[in-house]
Amino acid sequence: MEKILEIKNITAGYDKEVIIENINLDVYKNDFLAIIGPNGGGKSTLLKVILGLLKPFSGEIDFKTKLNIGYLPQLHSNDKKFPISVKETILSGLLSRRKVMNKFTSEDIKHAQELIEKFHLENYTDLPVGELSGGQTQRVFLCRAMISKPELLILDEPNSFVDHGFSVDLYNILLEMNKEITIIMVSHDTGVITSYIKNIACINRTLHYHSGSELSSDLLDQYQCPVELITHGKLPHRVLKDHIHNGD
Amino acid sequence: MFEIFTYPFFINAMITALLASITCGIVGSYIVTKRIVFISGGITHASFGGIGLGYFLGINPIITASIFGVLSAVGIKAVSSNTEVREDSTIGIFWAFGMAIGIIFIYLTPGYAPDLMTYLFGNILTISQADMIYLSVLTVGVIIFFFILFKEILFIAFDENFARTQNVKVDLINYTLIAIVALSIVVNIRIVGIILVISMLTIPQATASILTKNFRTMIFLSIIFGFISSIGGLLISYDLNIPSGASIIFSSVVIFLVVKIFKSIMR
Repeated sequence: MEKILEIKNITAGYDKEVIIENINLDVYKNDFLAIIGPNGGGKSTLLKVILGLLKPFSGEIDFKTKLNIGYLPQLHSNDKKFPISVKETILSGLLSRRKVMNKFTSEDIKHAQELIEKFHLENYTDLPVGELSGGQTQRVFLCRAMISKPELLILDEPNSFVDHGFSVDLYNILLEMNKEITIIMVSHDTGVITSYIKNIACINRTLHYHSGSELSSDLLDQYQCPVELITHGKLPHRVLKDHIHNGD
Repeated sequence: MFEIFTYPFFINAMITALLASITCGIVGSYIVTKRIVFISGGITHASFGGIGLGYFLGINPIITASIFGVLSAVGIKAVSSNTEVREDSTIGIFWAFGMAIGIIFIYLTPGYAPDLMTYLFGNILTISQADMIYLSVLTVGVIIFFFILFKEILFIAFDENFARTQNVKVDLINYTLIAIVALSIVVNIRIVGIILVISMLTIPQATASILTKNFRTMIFLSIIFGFISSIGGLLISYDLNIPSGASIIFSSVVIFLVVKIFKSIMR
């Protein structure tokens, strides 16, 4: 498989406090990689390093080619009064094209419209984003991440606000996209670990990688990963091998 | 009282009011939207150091105030994003330090500062040719900058981290914007004074925000409200013989209240 991204010996954190240590991780083309772990374990920190938003203390991120990245940040309380509409927010995902002053083309608008329909946002297009609910805002941000037709989609907790009904739709959309693009998804949610995911990285300061071959092996009765992996309904669930700690 | 519309000094004041309304309408909408009103207050007062220095050196205080304004704007941003000092504390330090420097220089200057009050309270009626040229150049610069980078400015203000992942030159645009904010503040000090300048950059925008949630419309409405306040303030100032800065702010608050009440009734 073709490697698109190599994370080499990354140690990073904030204000000299180490959050993640000696992280090594390869990401392959058309991978659907889930990064899971407890709160404060360093999931978002790792994403920020990959995205270049946080400079690591040591180590390097090696992109094999220049990638167009779509990013869904973790939802934080956004400014309710900010004067930007749903449609404008979605189109802001096209900033990377870097054509200064270019008007959005009719093709862009059409693509935005398709995403708006896919994510059931038709009734909100002209509303300010700040007036939407958490789940709606998250859907708007998903559209923003996808509109540039990225080669790598990085999602930080995509299902934390999306209601359960839409959650399944979302994974179907992602599964469809995954045929052409690579997806890295962070989650602490239990429902995420579905059969769509190809590889899993458990992170809690250090990283344990569970490759796809391991994931398809037989189920165990006990859940030994530090994260709960129980899914609801008819979605199949999986259990990972125990971590082998050096020196434990 | 309408014969004053034919007096050259009044026509100058109206041109100044129009240019200032455009600059403040655009820059103020950014300040209000980005929620950097307090930084702007810090820059305003820090630039007083430049006014003092201008008196001391015997050059146009607006020039030295511009230098002080831009340096403190960039300084506040750089200190708060690169050190452990909190942003609001940094603003407080720059705010007071600029004022202190200004007072020191004014006291060191031989004689007395003849039109110091102009800088504290402003006077649109006595604006000099040089200041008008400066304001014109700035207005044109602000229009061009916002016209070209409108989307980038809005999207960075909304979600800076996302913009970074899109390879936008976020830091360059942010530092340029804060420098533009500083220059716009300084040139307006001449019109409404240090104490009142922040209101030129916030009240018309607050009024516009009552009516729209679109950034572009907010800018246009702010310009209109700013201009109406300025002309209204000028007339009151002429009629009652009071400082124009205060009467301009007074009329802008009246407009704010009228729009607010109008909106409540319509609802």
